[in-house]
Amino acid sequence: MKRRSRILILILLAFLYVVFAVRDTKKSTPSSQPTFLSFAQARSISEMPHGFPDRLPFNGGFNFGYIDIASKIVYSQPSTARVAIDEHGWITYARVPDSLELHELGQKSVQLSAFAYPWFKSTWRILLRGDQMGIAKIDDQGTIQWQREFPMQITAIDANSRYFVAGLLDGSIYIFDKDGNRIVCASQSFSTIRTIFALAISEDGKYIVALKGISPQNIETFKNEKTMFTLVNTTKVANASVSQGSMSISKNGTYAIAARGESIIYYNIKNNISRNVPFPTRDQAASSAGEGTRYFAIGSIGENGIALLRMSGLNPSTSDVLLLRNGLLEREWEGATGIASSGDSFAVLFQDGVELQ
Amino acid sequence: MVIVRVAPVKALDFLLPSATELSGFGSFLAQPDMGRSSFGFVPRSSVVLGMPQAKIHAPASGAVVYIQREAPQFSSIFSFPLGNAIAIEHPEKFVSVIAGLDGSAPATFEAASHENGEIARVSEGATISGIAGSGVFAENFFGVSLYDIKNALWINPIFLAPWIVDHSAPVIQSVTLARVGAANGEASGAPTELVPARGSKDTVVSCAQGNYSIAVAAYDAITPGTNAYSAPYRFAAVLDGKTVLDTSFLGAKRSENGLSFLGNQAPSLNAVTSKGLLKIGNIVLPKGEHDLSVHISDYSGNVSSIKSRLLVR
Repeated sequence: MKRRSRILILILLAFLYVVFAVRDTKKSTPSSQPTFLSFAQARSISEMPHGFPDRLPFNGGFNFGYIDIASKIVYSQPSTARVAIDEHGWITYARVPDSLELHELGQKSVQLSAFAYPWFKSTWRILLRGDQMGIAKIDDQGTIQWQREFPMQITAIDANSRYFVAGLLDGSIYIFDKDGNRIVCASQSFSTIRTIFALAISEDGKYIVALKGISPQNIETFKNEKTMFTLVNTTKVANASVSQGSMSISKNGTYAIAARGESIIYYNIKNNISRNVPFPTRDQAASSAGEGTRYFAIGSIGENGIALLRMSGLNPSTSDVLLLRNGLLEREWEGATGIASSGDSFAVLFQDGVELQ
Repeated sequence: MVIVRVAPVKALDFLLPSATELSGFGSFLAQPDMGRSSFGFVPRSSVVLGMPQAKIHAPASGAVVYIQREAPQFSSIFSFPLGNAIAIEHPEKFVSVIAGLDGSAPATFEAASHENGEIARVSEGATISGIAGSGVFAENFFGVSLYDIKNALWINPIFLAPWIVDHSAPVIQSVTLARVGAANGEASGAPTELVPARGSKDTVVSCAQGNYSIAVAAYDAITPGTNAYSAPYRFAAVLDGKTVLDTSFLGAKRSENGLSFLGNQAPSLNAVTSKGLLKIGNIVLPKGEHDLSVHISDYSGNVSSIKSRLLVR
């Protein structure tokens, strides 16, 4: 009897092992079919009702606007200028910024007098001064709440809900809270070139990861320890480059992806390990006809995903969005121009519409 | 574009390229018609060069240590305001930044770095293209700045432009005196505008004794016949024949809070009054009658002056 029970238990364990092992290795599939919302059938932003909670702002380059996720309706308008957008409104601006036009939802647009480019992320509305040596935090009405100046050009920026982070040409990292107070971070005198080429702050504000210096070129990790960020890890990067890059940290804070030019670097934050991620160009012909392939880390998706934008040449229509999970390529959206994400929701942006995932 | 791989030179050979238009160091970053309250109405630590053709010659030899590339038009990617730009490290710990380049220029440096696994070098005089302009720079316009690492100073590169021929003196629009509060050192009360003395009693400016901040509105056309203007170079105040103030746009000192211009503390906003005048320094006015002259000179030594008679109560 005992022997029979043991056999039954073993069979049950084997069954459970098979079931869960298959689940672990099976490529994840979307929980539901994606919905494509065409810009041709989109409504105007002016028709958008105010106050619905699942409003997802997007800027796909050719079009921008909002997605009502619950009702699966897109409100958009074509981009005739550059755009920075968030849940409450947007700013349009020209490359040579003689004026910025602030559009607050439900209000008349106003002109902002600023020689700067607007940058929105995670409730932060920042103006980056034309010489890249100053920032101003503005409110929903465009009023400057505070401004700060830096001794060198800003080369990398990021923000989470609490902090705005700027990396400089000289290797300094400046961190500010919502009131403009500066949080102490390891800084250095500019005696050698230790440029910050890319940086990112984790969503929980626990880590800042920076790609820094030339020889050697390192990934440095700073940990938030109550009142200051201290350097906790450094690892050397293979194939150093002097190009400005982009960086994102996964929402669960386990890894970061840095992208610049044609190279992608995976960095495991906990284990302080980095490696280059090889990705072939999709279209060699388009690549050779233009400026080559360029990758941009454009944000986190879900708990452990990071999206990359791959662009070939000068024409954004040759762009794709790639989804990495833990540094491994999971999905690819051919012809996509970007993503819009908030919480668990995300949409892939195309020239002719958005695809809700 | 020419990228030359040469052994690093041992001395700085910086030469500001000859330009048809020049907005100089210290001139305001934001355009004058944007209004004095606009974000960016601060002195610039660079020069903007308008070139006759869509290219610029590298001002000096060095190693390309930073490459910034603008994202393509109509892209969802944020582009930084300097557009396509490079930073070059020169001998003797100098770094220059050239901005407003064409997209092909940084791409070429990038490719050269990748191919050879080394840092691309550029030689003085090498041609760098800028076909359509990039970042905040209009077509054929480039930004150039030069940083002295050893002295923690952004250098005014106009001194490295021997091609400048300027025969016209700076234009003085306004010179004001504003009483400085004892508590915070800030100017307080309505500023008094200096009136040029003409030898008669009615041109006397009356004010109370105390510490005063002098502010000026003045410009200099380094490249006459163009829309480009520059801030003058040097500002001096002479009280009863004695120089009491002497400052210049020789450079901008760096600090944790930004840049220090004309002896004012960083950030650079401290060098500008709310009316958009440059603060050139403070003087003490004791009781009595005084002659106060303010001399403003340009890079070629042309001087404009305003002289006032003061009655200090």
